[in-house]
Amino acid sequence: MDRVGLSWRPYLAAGILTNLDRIDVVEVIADDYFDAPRAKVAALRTLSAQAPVVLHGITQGLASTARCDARRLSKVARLVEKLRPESWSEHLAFVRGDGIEIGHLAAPPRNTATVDGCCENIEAARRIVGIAPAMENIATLIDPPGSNLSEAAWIAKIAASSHCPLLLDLHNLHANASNFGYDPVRFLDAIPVSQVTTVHLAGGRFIGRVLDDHLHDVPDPVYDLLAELAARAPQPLTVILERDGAYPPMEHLLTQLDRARAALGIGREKRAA
Amino acid sequence: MNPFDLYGPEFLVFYFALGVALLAGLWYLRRNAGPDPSMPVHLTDPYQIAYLRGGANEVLRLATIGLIDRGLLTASGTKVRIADASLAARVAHPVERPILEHFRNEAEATSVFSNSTLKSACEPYAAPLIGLGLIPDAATKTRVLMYAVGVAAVLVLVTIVKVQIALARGRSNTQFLILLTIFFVVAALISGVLRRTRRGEAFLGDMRTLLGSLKDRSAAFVPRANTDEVLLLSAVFGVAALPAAAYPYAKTLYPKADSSCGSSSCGSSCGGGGCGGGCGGCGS
Repeated sequence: MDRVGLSWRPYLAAGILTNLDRIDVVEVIADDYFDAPRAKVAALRTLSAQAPVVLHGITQGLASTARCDARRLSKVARLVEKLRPESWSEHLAFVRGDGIEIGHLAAPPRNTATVDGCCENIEAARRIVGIAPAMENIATLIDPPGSNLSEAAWIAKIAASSHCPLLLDLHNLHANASNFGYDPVRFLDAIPVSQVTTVHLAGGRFIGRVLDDHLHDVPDPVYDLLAELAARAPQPLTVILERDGAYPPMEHLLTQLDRARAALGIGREKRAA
Repeated sequence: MNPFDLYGPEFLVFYFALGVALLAGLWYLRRNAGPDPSMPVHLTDPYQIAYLRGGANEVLRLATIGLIDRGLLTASGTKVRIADASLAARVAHPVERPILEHFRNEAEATSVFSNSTLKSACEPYAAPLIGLGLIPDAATKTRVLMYAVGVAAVLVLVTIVKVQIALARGRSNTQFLILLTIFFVVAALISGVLRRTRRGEAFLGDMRTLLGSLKDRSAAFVPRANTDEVLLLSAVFGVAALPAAAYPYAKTLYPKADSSCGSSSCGSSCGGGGCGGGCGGCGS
């Protein structure tokens, strides 16, 4: 069954806990808890008793020819062991190079070298953590130099070789499609949607290009993409609304979850027809 | 060797060790008077959480503040009365409805604590909390209390015997012994009252950690716009945690309400939050 939820942010904590009848799942940033005091991890366990929890990582940098850091993955493994989340996810991005931390998610060159490197890292993650992460497409403001594959083809190769689940961030897709001039619906047809388990929805703003900033409401085209995805995906989808700041009243966020449910419904009806 | 033959400081050392050992036993009993505290618990009802934190009085405090925030009651100084009887008639909640009835005529806010009907209306919150292992059942409470009374009785008895022996031997400097006895007896009797299990304490601590940020941002609350969050904040931290600017009546009506920011990380948030301006290669 499709589910719709929210990313866990301290600011939204009470709103989430008082509206669990409208929130199916909560996504927690794993890295916030790697070195957290025991009390904070214990509190997270209590959260997991109130609602299903999924973990989302941001600092592994698996989409790289450089080998991933086993110590960082061990932190994920320890958190997964304590929390027993339903799943965890990471990004198709690199975050460091030659010992330098970028501090952002960066799009790697899309070629066979990074496909192979990413698949090796995903396999290492699967070994160390026990389950493979769902891999998320990222937004980028530049077309990575050294690329000879389209983003869809690159993701499809990674998914086929590693058999990893996919987290499809529809605002990232919308942003990239807008910025680089391609049809996002054709993107959906070019990736293995049957491997998509999780979906992110978010908003952004236009600064000459579409910027994915998680500080704005989900735009209409993203809901349309969700309906398109639901029409193509045979498996249940977990949809997470990401909001990192400029928080509106809770009811406003819940209304966006309702819109997501409506979009899923439209897609499922189209699929059934 | 007969410890009662020990003199002065030596006996005090023996007595101190006896008191510590007995209190340690009481502590051990309290500690194991409930289920595994590490098992997480599903509980989000603010009234149940309030009952866990402070019993029926806390539920009544919370419900009254919530009803004022919803506009069903109004506060004037230390008194409360119903705002709109016709609206109040539509409230069916088993605690809120009797509170509204109680304030049909203006009354002191604290009068709810002496109303046995209202107290009875709160008692159904106990059973589910016992079932979840958050508060001890009656048998467990009695067992711990009886042990505490036993500890106190043993210590008092030892003191009485020693004082009698000392007086019989012409010694009257028993003040330190008596002070130590009072200290241990008070400690034992306080420890004998088991309000929550370790699981209950752990749950409240976890909720304070999860909601620490709520307390930090409560200053931004707008009256009547955040009632659910107000209830949760008050349930976990106490009505004293409500910002005075938006809820001035809270401290006026219930000046003795505690803020319960005791053991855990009160006010700390549970994590950074977010990928930092977007999960997709922030380019700004």
